[in-house]
Amino acid sequence: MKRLCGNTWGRAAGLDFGLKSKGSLMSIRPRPGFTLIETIAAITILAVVIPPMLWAVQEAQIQRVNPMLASKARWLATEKLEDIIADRHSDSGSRGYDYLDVSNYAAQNKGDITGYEQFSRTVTIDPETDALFVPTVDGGYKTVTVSVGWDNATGNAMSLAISTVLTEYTP
Amino acid sequence: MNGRSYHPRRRGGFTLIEAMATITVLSILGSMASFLIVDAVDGYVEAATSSQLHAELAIALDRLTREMRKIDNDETAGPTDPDIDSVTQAGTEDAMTWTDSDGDAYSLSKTGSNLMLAVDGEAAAVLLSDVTAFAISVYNRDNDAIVGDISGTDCDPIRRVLLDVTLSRQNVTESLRSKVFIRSTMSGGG
Repeated sequence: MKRLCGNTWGRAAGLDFGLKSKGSLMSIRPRPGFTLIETIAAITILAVVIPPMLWAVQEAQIQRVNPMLASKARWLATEKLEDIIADRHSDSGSRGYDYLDVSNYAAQNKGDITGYEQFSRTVTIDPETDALFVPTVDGGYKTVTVSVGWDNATGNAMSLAISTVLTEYTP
Repeated sequence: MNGRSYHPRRRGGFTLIEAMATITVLSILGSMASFLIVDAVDGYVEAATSSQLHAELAIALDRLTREMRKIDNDETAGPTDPDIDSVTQAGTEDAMTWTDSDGDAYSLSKTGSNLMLAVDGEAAAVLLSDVTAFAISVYNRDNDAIVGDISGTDCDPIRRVLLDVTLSRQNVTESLRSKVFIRSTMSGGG
């Protein structure tokens, strides 16, 4: 019996089997490969699924710098606080406890701190009304707060503040 | 003649055209995906190196800050003058020597690409490697900078020390700085 054309796309194995009275089993087996349609479908699915996964990995890497930015902000806050402590305890006649006023510590906007342009830094100094101890001679104290602000890797505004207390008392 | 040997078996795979089309499409998609993969890997390596450098800087500056806070008074110079022996301010190869409250002599300097700290006559130990710049700035009681290479009594007015270190590794550069108020120069209460 003459075989029908063997080159037809999508020909059903059952039809093939029905028309053949004899023949090798190999010839009636479904084709072992993928069809072009299946292959294109697979490639399309992969093309849709894989890029978002890669972008997600990349996004995770971008956000990995956030802890580092917070750490730098902490160092910048400490740096300013160290200056303020030094001013409080300076043996200069023009510094000391009375020098601790917000007018002496101008706010630094983003771009003002050399090498750390993405950070801003402000100082607040609150003279406390209650005396630290009795008698109240030189009994005052001030709460000094250094705040550092920055934008994290995803553009969210972040801030960090470190405070300390500096006293008027001089032994 | 054996008819089976000429029997037109069904094809098991693709035609050459189909295979070529598939390979072409795959290679276009693959080249696009490879940029994403390379970007992601580069980003990972850069972020990892960056954090590593920052961590090394933070640990080293933490230690130096603590060491410098306990710089002794220079009793012969004055009760509020620090026992700093010399400061070299060359720009990127700075150095400083001092004595702490236990009487131990310290020497901090950049040698090659290493930041070296020698304590009390011991051999200098590597504090940081891959250092591309190490700058020391010193300030007096009015927070004015004291510039130039100084030693001996010229160091007496120093009250604050600013350390600025830059590391560079695998094309990633990280800097960190720290300012230290030398506690032994403290005047007045606290």
